[in-house]
Amino acid sequence: MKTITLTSLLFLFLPGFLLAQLKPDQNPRAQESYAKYRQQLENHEQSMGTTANLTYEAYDPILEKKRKRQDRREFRQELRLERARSRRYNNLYRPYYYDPYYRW
Amino acid sequence: MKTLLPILMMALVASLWTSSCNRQVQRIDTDTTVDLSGRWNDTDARLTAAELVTEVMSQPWLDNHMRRTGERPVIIVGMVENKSHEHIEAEVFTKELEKAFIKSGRVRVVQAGEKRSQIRRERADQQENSSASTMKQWGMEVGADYMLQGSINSIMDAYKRKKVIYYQIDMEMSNIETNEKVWIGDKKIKKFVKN
Repeated sequence: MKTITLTSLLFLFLPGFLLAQLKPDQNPRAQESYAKYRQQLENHEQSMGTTANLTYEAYDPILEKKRKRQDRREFRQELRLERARSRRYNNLYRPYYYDPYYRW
Repeated sequence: MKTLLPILMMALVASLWTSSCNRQVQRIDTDTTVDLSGRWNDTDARLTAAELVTEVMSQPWLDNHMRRTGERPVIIVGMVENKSHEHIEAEVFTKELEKAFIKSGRVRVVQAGEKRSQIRRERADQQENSSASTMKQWGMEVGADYMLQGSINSIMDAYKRKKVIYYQIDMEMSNIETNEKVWIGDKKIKKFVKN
């Protein structure tokens, strides 16, 4: 009975006590916000004094041209390699070499 | 003559090679208009900012608020949706608006976005590490009266080597409590590009 009375008293007076701690015009739910942001403090110090590089790649016709040229070169190289690889298995002296049915 | 010809050819090729790789960079005035590709550029952003700043500071919403409350309005910058076909950084002109508000001394601006979160994290950190006299309190932030939001739209029409691009930048200010739109401003830009 004693503990129940004490607990109920605590519940009755705790909000009042907390409100008494509040400054004038202070948000009464400030502690909730603090509790939320307190959990986010892990990487806070690492972000201080640093630069967040949120960059994007701007369209540059010269760079685009270079990129396309590079892509074409790589594609041709791949094609040459693939052709060389497939040629290895194709015996030129085999009969019906040019017939696709007999190609491996 | 036979020996001289290859040398001359080599010199010509070398001069062409060096001249083609010779990049020149010069600083120019930021107010200079330079249109190269016809895309959205700094001039468009500057013109947009100038027009929006003039509009927002001259419209009656500001005086109405002052008359009603007797206090300067507090503004927070919300999101600007880019629905155009290009990458357009709206922060370039929203920052100009914020700057104009603060410089005028008639409008207050509160921090928004990730910067606000960082400030709050710092305040949370202060609760554990700063002295009681320097520690900043929770729940004492200034609540904004209005939110500034916007959208960017574009329409492009092209035929053969000709192109017409139309941009429309709409910005609006809404009362956070009542949802009432108190100001709408826009900037329209139309370009004709011939290749």
